[in-house]
Amino acid sequence: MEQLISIRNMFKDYPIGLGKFTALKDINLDFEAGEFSGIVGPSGSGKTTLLNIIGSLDVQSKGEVKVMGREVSELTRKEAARLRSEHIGFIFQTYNLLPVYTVFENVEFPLLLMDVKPGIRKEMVDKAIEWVGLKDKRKSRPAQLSGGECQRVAIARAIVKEPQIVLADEPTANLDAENSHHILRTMVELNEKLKTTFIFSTHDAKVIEYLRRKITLVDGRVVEDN
Amino acid sequence: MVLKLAWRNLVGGGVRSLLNVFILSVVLVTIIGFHGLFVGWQRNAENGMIRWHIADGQYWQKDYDPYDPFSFDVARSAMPKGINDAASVEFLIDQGVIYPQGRMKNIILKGVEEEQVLLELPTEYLRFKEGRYKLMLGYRTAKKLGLSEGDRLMLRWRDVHGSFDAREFEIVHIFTSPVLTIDQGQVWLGLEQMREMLDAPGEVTYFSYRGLRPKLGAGWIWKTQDELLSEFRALFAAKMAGVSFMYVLLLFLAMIAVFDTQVLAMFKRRREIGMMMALGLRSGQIIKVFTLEGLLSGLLAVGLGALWGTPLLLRFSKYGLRLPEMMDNYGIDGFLDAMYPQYSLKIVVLTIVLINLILLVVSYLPVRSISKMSPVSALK
Ligand SMILES: Nc1ncnc2c1ncn2[C@@H]1O[C@H](COP(=O)(O)OP(=O)(O)OP(=O)(O)O)[C@@H](O)[C@H]1O
Ligand SMILES: [Mg+2]
Repeated sequence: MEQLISIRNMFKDYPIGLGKFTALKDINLDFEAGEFSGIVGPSGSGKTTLLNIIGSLDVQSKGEVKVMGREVSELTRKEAARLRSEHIGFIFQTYNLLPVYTVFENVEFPLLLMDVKPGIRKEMVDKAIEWVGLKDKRKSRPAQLSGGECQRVAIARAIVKEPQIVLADEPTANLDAENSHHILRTMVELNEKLKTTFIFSTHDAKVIEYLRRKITLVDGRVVEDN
Repeated sequence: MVLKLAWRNLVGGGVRSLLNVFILSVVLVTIIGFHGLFVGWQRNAENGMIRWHIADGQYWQKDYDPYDPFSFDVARSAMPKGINDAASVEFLIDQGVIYPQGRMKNIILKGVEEEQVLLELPTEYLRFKEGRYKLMLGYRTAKKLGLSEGDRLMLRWRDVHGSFDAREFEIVHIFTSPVLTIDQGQVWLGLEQMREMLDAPGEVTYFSYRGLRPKLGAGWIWKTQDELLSEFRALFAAKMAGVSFMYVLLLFLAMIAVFDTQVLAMFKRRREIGMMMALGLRSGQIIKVFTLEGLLSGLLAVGLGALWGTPLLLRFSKYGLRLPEMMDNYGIDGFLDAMYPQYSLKIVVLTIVLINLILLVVSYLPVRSISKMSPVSALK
């Protein structure tokens, strides 16, 4: 069976001044549909960079990255946007909430892009907001929320459309234990029910507990995968 | 979907959007208001000149040059035959000297047909039959020379034979007219009075005419309304250059405000745009959403401007704008006590279209350049 995500001999360079900095070195990884996996590693080891490339927000410098059978570096901007919109839920390390939108509107946004019908849309948004426990903040704007609350909105926005792949960049960094566990359980449930593939980036022990597969990244290299 | 997002952006922008829309509406109303003011002023002035002096146009004796007082002696001929008297007003021009309060002052003497009813010039005060040595003058000249009705004024002139003659005249009337060119540097006498003084019976320098134009020989040159108004128009444009400059400055400031809120805000909102791209909004849609947002704010500004601007502008055009000192400051024909702006539909539509076009461009250009960035760099 075709892998959901397959990465071969992949390198990522960032230009720095006249030279370059290689953030990812010779990455070879495969992810099957329905995996609940995480990338762990110290700060600066390349976790975010890797998730960005898988999520087609960035392109590798060398090697292959196939997502759902398509080489991401060959996608047109339009195709990449469609891939993100239809199949990938992204939880950003920096939340990236739309500042002028309310919580409800932020969570609704991906569904608007997919032209989901208004009635169904509202139901799905309400459900996602309830998952992350922000029912009473539906009308607040990001500036009025705490860091943890913003993170939960970002999570709701990523899972609201029930995508095939959720890329979660340190999703629990600002959450207390209780909220972390609640959200992780919700994600496990989604994973079991809908075969949603989760790829985390984390150094949170609570998250690592839940992972079925742990990929360790050090200095842009995979040093462990089990 | 695009419209919904654009609207959401605008509403979500809150005070920022509101301020932007408000400034835009001020720009709109100001442009329309100022333009109306200029148009009203100019129309008022031109109508005044037509009603007080020009009629449909004038026949000038071929040698008449209003800028050369020494030509006045020769620039007169007998009134051509066959001209309907009711359709024409005759003028006879010469130069003279007056002695208001002992001072000496060169002045243009204008004799005008006393019985005319074509022009608003109140010539009935000058009727020869009812007494001689009467003159009238405009309120500006009267004020400048410190003269009032009933005053006596010594006047000296030269007759056709070149000999000086002098007489005391009574100021029978001071008229109030918006037209500067029948006021400054001149006094008005009856035509018969002038003819007698100059010993020039039946002669005229020019005559204003209304109606179907008769064909006259080479001795008379027809001056159309446009020709007679062209000098005023040039002067008006020149005088208004200063005012227009302020107006352009104002617009420029407003445009900077718009530019700031649109263009700079757009760059400040780069991250926001990046977020939308990261979530899967295609660049074409991004451009549409944010350009439409700019356009929507323009349309809202039109609505808002119409809401508060229409009653304001209509009020001005109905009750006029009382700016009497402006008149003197600019030394230009136009209005007496109040200026009545006139607005044209054309300028309203043009302004609205222009503002929205500018908005379209200043929204489109920055968002297009941002939409070309990769999502990660837009998010930085
Ligand atoms: N745009 C960029 N230009 C240059 N270098 C970059 C850029 N983005 C990331 N890097 C470098 O690449 C390396 C990996 O960055 P990345 O953000 O992937 O780390 P990370 O593992 O997510 O770290 P953290 O746990 O702190 O989020 C870092 O050393 C970083 O300095
Ligand atoms: Mg990171």
